[in-house]
Amino acid sequence: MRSKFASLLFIFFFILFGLVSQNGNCKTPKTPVQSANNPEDSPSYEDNQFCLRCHASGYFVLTSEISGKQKKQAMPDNFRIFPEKFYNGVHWQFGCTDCHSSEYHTFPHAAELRFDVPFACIDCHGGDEATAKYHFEEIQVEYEKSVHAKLPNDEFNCWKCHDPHSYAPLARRDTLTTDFVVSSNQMCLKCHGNFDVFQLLSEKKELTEVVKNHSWLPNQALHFRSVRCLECHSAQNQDILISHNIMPKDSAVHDCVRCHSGNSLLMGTLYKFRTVESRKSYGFVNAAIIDNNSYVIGANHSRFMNISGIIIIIMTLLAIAIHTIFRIRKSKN
Amino acid sequence: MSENIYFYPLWTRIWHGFNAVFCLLLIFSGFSLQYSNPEFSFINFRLAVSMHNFSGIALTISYLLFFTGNIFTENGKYYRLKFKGLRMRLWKQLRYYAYGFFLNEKSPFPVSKTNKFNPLQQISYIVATYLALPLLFVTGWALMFPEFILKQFLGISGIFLTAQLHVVMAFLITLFLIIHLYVSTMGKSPLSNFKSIITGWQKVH
Ligand code: HEC
Ligand code: HEC
Ligand code: HEC
Ligand code: HEC
Ligand code: HEC
Ligand code: HEC
Ligand code: HEC
Ligand code: HEM
Repeated sequence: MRSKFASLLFIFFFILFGLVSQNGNCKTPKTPVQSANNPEDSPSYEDNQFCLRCHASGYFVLTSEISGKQKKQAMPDNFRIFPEKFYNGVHWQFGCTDCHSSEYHTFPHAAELRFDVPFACIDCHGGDEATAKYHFEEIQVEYEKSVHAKLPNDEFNCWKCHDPHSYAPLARRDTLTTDFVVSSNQMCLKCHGNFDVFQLLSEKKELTEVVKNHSWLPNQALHFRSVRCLECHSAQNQDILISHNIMPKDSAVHDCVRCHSGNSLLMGTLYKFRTVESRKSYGFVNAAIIDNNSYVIGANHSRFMNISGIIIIIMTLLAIAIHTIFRIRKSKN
Repeated sequence: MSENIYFYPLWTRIWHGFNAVFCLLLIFSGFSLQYSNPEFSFINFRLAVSMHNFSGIALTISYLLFFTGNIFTENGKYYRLKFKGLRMRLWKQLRYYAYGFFLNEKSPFPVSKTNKFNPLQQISYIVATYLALPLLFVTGWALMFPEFILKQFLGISGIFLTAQLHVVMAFLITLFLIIHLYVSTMGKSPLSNFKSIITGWQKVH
């Protein structure tokens, strides 16, 4: 008897396991190892060394023009460039002076240089065949509708989010990882989580208190690790992968069920790249989310389980109803 | 001649009351979460989350009290399964519910001081309280603190497995509850068992 029971239990877990493992990750390609560029392969490597001598270091050496004396000075953090990041960014083959004026070769740099207007992404990428798949033109249009583009003085531009010295797109890698979410959110938090930076553009300190502003969201830390700010704050756009229209706060997603349900908005945003062919595959709704080791209540049920659960319950109720009918007839006799 | 025995001691009745209330809250809020839908929600999602968390915690506490109670009091002995001849006894009881009952046969395992549950009751109570409920608690608490769940187990997302197990067990408990409620109406009279789980006294022959 005991072994019967044990084998029943075994069968039960076996079925459960089979059910679950249909979702095995065997089909998911492994994350390609992002080939680290060799800095010395960049045509601008030598030239950049001139600037990086100071900008990659924690200090620079100042020479007195009068006495010839030398003195170490601290390089302010926000002017530091990290070569490992720079040479792994998309523009790693660029020289500093491809984007910055060559007058930066002189030091101290002329104050007037600071008023240079930087190139915009669209200046180089507009109509560019090689990067057509990113739809820069469409992104530009969306960006211009966003709250940030409406700031006075045209102070805001694409570079405010896309660090000119390190940006590399992560959304198109084969597997989504937490670091993609984290790095995307970091783009927002560098301002919205830090008033020192934010105040260069606006005095509204309350916009930098992210934790307080989202206290209505339970498991906040988990959410911010699993979803991007963009999920709730940007309008969806079918044509581009990353929606760039950040809406005013009143239009942000507040309703939990927009994500926590069978047709979760996450599939059109965070998981868009992976969703196209995998939606509802394996009998699991929104399987792409599960492939990412995430589980979103309400959005990740197994159809089979949800339907068979209801069927079993209905059959039980039916059996009870029949039993009841017999009981009533019996009591009448 | 019928005799009244004091069947359910006060503490089991109190436990059972809490258990019933929180189980029902958990089932309703849980179903609402599992089948959540933007067009129609049975219970508002946020409310359902808080409700589910609160009742889960409360039920765990009440369960732990029951569990210790069963270790230190007489009540525990009714939960010790005797495997010998179990299949035969289960069959007899099942046959009675499905058939004998209608022919006014005598219950094969009439309730008495030493025999509180019939074999079917006993096995379903054991499975519900010693297997399904503990698994529900473990997986439920894990989901409340997902940072402690294994990231991967045999190549599958740990949190996903945990949630799946939680849902399977929840379905089991729901089934148990439905059957439990119905079978409870098959006492002396349809309501007598419900009276006794409240008052503690049960009429037996
Ligand atoms: C001798 C060290 C030194 C060298 C070499 C140097 N810089 Fe700088 N650079 C600085 C320091 C210090 C600052 C911050 C203080 C300042 O703005 O003068 C700075 C500031 C800057 C800024 C920020 C100006 C702003 O907008 O506030 C840019 C851009 C810049 N450097 C680019 C370059 C480029 C490009 C090169 C190479 C062609 C270069 N620098 C070479 C020391 C150096
Ligand atoms: C793809 C174009 C591009 C390249 C290549 C580039 N920069 Fe920049 N850099 C920019 C832009 C655009 C800004 C202004 C960012 C802003 O306004 O927030 C900037 C800002 C800076 C700043 C000021 C930082 C700040 O926060 O104000 C320094 C310093 C700097 N660059 C140094 C360098 C050095 C050194 C290199 C070469 C290793 C380099 N840049 C290469 C586009 C570039
Ligand atoms: C000065 C011209 C210039 C500017 C300004 C510029 N880029 Fe680029 N970008 C390039 C060039 C050149 C490449 C290399 C293209 C290639 O590999 O075919 C490139 C590559 C890229 C790539 C990688 C394309 C791929 O699939 O390999 C991305 C993404 C990108 N840029 C985004 C941006 C963004 C975002 C901005 C603005 C924040 C920007 N770029 C601004 C010239 C520019
Ligand atoms: C408010 C912040 C923000 C601004 C402003 C912004 N972006 Fe982005 N952008 C993002 C984020 C977040 C991502 C996704 C992260 C990633 O690609 O790693 C992204 C991704 C991209 C991508 C890669 C999309 C893909 O398909 O992989 C391109 C191209 C891009 N942005 C271009 C632009 C251009 C052009 C502008 C200015 C018109 C701009 N961005 C302004 C936040 C911003
Ligand atoms: C360079 C700094 C900076 C970055 C990066 C940045 N923001 Fe902003 N954000 C601002 C400023 C400045 C405002 C406008 C404040 C004002 O109205 O004075 C703003 C406004 C907003 C608002 C509107 C708030 C309201 O009052 O309606 C939202 C929402 C927002 N940002 C979200 C984001 C998101 C999401 C990201 C990342 C994808 C992001 N921001 C990245 C600086 C930034
Ligand atoms: C789950 C959806 C969601 C996520 C994720 C989210 N937000 Fe919000 N956020 C909202 C909603 C809804 C509001 C409006 C809250 C209100 O009005 O009380 C808001 C408000 C804001 C505001 C305006 C604050 C105020 O009250 O003035 C800023 C700025 C903001 N969010 C930035 C961010 C940043 C940065 C992130 C990423 C780290 C982020 N949000 C992630 C939904 C979200
Ligand atoms: C932008 C989409 C989005 C919105 C809106 C959202 N969530 Fe979530 N939520 C998620 C994701 C994704 C996870 C899964 C995190 C993981 O496991 O990786 C999650 C996880 C959770 C969890 C933890 C589940 C667990 O496994 O322990 C709770 C509880 C939760 N959400 C409640 C809410 C509530 C309540 C709201 C509304 C106030 C809400 N969520 C709004 C996306 C969202
Ligand atoms: C899912 C939650 C529930 C569980 C796990 C559960 C479990 C149990 C257990 C273990 C007993 C035996 C008590 C003892 O040791 O003395 C019992 C008895 C009883 N329960 Fe429940 N119960 C649940 C919900 C309910 C509900 C909601 C009701 C009705 C409102 C109910 C009605 C009864 C009745 C009438 C009895 C006495 C009859 C009998 O022993 O079969 N139960 N229950």
